[in-house]
Amino acid sequence: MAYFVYLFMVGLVLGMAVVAVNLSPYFAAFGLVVVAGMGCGVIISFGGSFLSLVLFLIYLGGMLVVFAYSAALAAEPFPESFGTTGAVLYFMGLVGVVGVFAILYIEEGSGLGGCSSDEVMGMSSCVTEYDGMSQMYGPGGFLLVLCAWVLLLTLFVVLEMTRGSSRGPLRSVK
Amino acid sequence: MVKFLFPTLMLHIHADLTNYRLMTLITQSSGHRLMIAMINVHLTLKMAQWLDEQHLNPYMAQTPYLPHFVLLTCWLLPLMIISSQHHMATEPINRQRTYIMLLTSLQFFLILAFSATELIMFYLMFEATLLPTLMIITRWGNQAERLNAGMYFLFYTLASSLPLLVALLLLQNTTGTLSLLTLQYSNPLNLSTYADKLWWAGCLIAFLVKMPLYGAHLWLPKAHVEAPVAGSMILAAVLLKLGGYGMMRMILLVLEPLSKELSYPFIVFALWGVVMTGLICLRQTDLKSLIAYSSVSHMGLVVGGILVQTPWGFAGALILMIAHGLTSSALFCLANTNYERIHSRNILLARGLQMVLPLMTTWWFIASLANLALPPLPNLMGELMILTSLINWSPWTLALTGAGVLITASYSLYMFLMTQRGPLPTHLIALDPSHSREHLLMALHLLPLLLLIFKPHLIWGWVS
Amino acid sequence: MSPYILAILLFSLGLGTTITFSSTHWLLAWVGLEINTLAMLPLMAQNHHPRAVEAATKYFLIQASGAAVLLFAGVINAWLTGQWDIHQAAHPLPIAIITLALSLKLGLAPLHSWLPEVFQGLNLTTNLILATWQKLAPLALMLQIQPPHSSLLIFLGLMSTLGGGWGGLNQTQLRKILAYSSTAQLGWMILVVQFSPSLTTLAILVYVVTTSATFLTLKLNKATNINMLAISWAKAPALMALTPLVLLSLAGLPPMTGFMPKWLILQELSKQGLPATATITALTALLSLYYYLRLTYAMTLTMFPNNITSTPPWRLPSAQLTLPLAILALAAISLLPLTPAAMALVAL
Repeated sequence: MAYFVYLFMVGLVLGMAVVAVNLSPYFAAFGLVVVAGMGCGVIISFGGSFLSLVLFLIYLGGMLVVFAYSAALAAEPFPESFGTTGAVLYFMGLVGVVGVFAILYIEEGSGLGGCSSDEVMGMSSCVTEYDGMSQMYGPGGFLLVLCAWVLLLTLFVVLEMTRGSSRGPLRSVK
Repeated sequence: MVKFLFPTLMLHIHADLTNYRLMTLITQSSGHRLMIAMINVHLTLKMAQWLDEQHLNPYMAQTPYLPHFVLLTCWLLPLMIISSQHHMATEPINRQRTYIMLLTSLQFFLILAFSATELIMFYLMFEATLLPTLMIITRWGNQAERLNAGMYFLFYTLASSLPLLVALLLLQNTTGTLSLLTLQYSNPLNLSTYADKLWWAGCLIAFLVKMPLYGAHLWLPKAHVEAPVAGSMILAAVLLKLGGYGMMRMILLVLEPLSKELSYPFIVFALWGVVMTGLICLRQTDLKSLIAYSSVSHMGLVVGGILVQTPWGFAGALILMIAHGLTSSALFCLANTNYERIHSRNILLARGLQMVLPLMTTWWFIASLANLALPPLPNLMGELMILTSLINWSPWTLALTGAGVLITASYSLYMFLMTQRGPLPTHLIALDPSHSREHLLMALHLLPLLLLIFKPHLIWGWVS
Repeated sequence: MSPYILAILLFSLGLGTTITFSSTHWLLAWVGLEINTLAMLPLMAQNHHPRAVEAATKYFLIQASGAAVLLFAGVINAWLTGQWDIHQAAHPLPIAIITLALSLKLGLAPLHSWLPEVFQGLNLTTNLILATWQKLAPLALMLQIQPPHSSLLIFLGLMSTLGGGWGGLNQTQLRKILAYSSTAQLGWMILVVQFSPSLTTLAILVYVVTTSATFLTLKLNKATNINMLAISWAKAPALMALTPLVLLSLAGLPPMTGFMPKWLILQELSKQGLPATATITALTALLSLYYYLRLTYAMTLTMFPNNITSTPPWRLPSAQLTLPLAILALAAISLLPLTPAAMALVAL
C-alpha cells in the first residue's frame, strides 16, 4: 500500500511540474488531469473514498472545460512540447528541488501513518456521507443556493469575458 | 460673540444677493463690515474698562487681550475690500462675489480663532484661515510665481503646525482638558525629559513659523510679493499676529516651567533676525519685498518680547503687533497705489512721486515714520517696552536691538526718500491722480494709529 | 452589456461584500470575497478595450492570489486551533498571513503597486466602485481580526501613507493619482484599526464620501489627466470653483470633513503613546497634499489659456445626474462641525 501512496505522490509532483514548466496549454491541461487523478489517489489511500470520487468527477468535468477552452483559445498549429530547449531543464530543476526538500523533511516512518480523512472517524451510527448529504440540504441549504448562484454568476462572467469573435477580452491581451 | 459673528456670516449672503454693480457691492460690503467693527470698538472699550472675562461660553470668549485682535481683524477686512477695488473692477461679477466671500470667510475664521477658548478650536481656525488666504494669493495674484508662493505658504505653515496638533492632543491626554479656562487651574506639568522638550518645541514651532521667525521666514516675502494687495494686507496685519497671539496663549498657560531655559536659542535667533532682515531691507529693490522683510524684522522683536515672558514684554509685544498691523497694512496699500499706476514693484521705477502725488507723500511720510517708530506713535511705545524687557533679560541684547532700531530707521527713510523725493523721471509724468478712495483708505489706517497714542491704555493689555 | 447581466453582476457585487460582512466563518468570508472579484471582472472589461482587459486580468490575478492566501491562512488557522471562527482566530501565524493577504487585496503599501496600474486601465465609474465598494469587504475582515503584532499594522500604515504620498508626486494621470490617494488614505485606517476599529469605520465612511465626490467630478468633466482638468473650467465653472475644497478635504485640510478622521486618528495614536508615529503620519500627509494642491492649481487657481471656441461648453446641459455629486460634495466639504455626531454614529 505504501508503494501506491508513494507512486501517487510522485505522480502528483510530476504532474505539477508539467503544469509549471510553461508548455503549451494542451500539455498543461493534461498535466492538470494527471495531478487531479493522482491527488484523488492520495485521498483514497487515506480512506476518503467518497471524497475522492466526488473530487475526481468534479475535476474531470472541470478539466474538460479547461481543456476545451485552452484548445479553443490557444489554437496553435504546432504546440510547444518537451522537445523545446529549456523545458526539460526547468522540469528537472523543479522536480529536483521538490526531491531535495522531500529527502530533507520526510523522515523514516513519519507523517504518512498519522492522519486520515474524516470520513470514518468517530462512533457515528450512520455513514458519514449520508450525514453530510442531509446536512448539505438541511442547515446548509443557504450555502447550496449560494453555490448555485455562484455557478450561474461564473457562467455569465465567463460568457461576458469571452464574448465576441474578435474582441473577446482574453484574445485582445494576446 | 454672536453680535459680530452673525453679521459676518450674513456678509456671504449679502455678497450673493447684491445687485450687479461692483461699486455697490464693495461699498455695501465694506460699510457693513465697518459697522461690525464699530460694535467691536464698543465692546473693546467696555473690556478695557473692566478687564474681565465676559461673554463666555465653553468654546468662545472675550478675554482681556482678545478684543484687540478681533478689532484689528474687523477693522482691516473692510479696508482690504476697499483697496481691492481697482484690480477687481475688471473681473466678472461672479469672481468679485467669490473674492468677497473669501474675505468674509477669512474674517469669520479669524474672529473664531481669536476668540476660541478651546485649544483645538483655536488650532482648527488657525488652519482654516490658510485656505482662503491661499486662494487669495494664488488665484488673484499677478505673476506666475504666485503658484510657488502659495506652495511655500501652505507647506511651511502646515509642516510646522501638524506637530502642534499632535502636541495639543498629547496635552489633552495629560491634563484631560484643552480649555483655556480650566487649563490655567490645572497642575503645572512636570516637564523634564528630552521628549518633553520636543513637545515644547512642537507647541511653539507652528507659531514661530507663522510669525515668522528668522530662518523659517522664506515663505513670507514670497507670499507678500505675489499676493494681491488684500492678501498682503491680511497677511501682514492679522495672520502674522495669529502666531503672536498663539504664542502668548501657549506660553502663559501651558509651557511655563520649560520656557525659561528653552526659549534662549529662539530669542537669540529672533534678535539676530531683526538685524539680518533689516540688512536685507537695506538692499531691496522690490517695494513689497522690502515691506515684507520689514515685517519679519518687527516680528522678530515681538517674538523676543513674548519669549522673555515679563509683563512688559507681553504688553510691548501686544502694542507692537497692533501698531505694526496698522502700519504694515498701510504700507502695503501705499505700495499698491504705486503698483496700480506704474505696474511694477520696483523702487527704481517709481521715484520722485512727491511731484505728482503730493498728498500721497504725506501718507507715505506718516507710514514710514510709524514704521521706524517715531516718538509719539504706539510703535515706539511697543518697541521701547520690548527693548526694556530684553535689556532686563540680558544687557547684551542691546547690541542687536539697538542695531535693529538703527537699521529700521535707515531702511524706512531709504524707502521714503527713494519713492517720494528727488526729480520725477520722465516716464512718470502721465500718472493717474490719487483717488479719494485711496485717501480714505490711508486715513482709516493711519488715524487709528495716531489716535491710539492718546489712550494707550486700550492696547497695552496687562500693564494697567 | 445587457442590462439583465449588468443587474446580475451588480447584485453579485453587493452579495459578495454582504456575505463577507455577515460571515463568521473563514470559508464563507472567502466565498464572499471571491464572488465579489468574480462579479467585478466583466464590469472592468466591459468595453473590451485592451487596457481595460489588461487591468481586469491584473485585478483578477491579484485578487485571486490574495483570496487564495486568505483561504490558505484560514485552513492553517483551522488546523492549528481547531475552529474556523473569524473572531476567535488567535494564532499569530495565520493572522499575520491574513493581514498580509488583506493588505494585498486592499492595496496597502508595500503591496500596492498593482493599484495604480489597474486604476489607469478602467473608466471612472468602475474606478469609483473599485475605490469605494471593493475596499469594504477586506476592510471588514481587517476590522474583525485581532492583530498579532501591532508593529506589523503600524508598518503597513506608515508605508502606505508614505508610499501613497510619494507615488502620486510625479503623476499627471488623475486615475493613478487617485489610486495613490486611496493607498494613502487606507494607510490611516490601518494605522488605527488595532486601537479603535470604530475610527477606521469613520475614516472609510469619510473616504468613501470624499473620493466619490472627486470621481463624480472628474466623470462630469471627462477628465483623466491634469491637462484635461485644466480646461474643465470651461465645462463647469461653478463646480470647478468648488472642487478644490473637495480635493483638499481628501487631503485632510482642517475646515473640511476630511480633517475629521485624521484628527481623531492622531488623537487615538497619541492616546496610545505613539506621538512619534502620529507626527510622522501627519507629516506624510503633506506629500499627498502636494498632489492634491497641484490638481487644485491646474483646475481653479490658474486659468488655462483656451481658445474661444472651446469656452462655451458650460452652456450645454450635462448628461450626468448632478444631484448625487452635489450631495456628496457638500458632505465632503462641510461635515466637520458634525464630528460628535459622526463619532456617535460609528461608536455603536
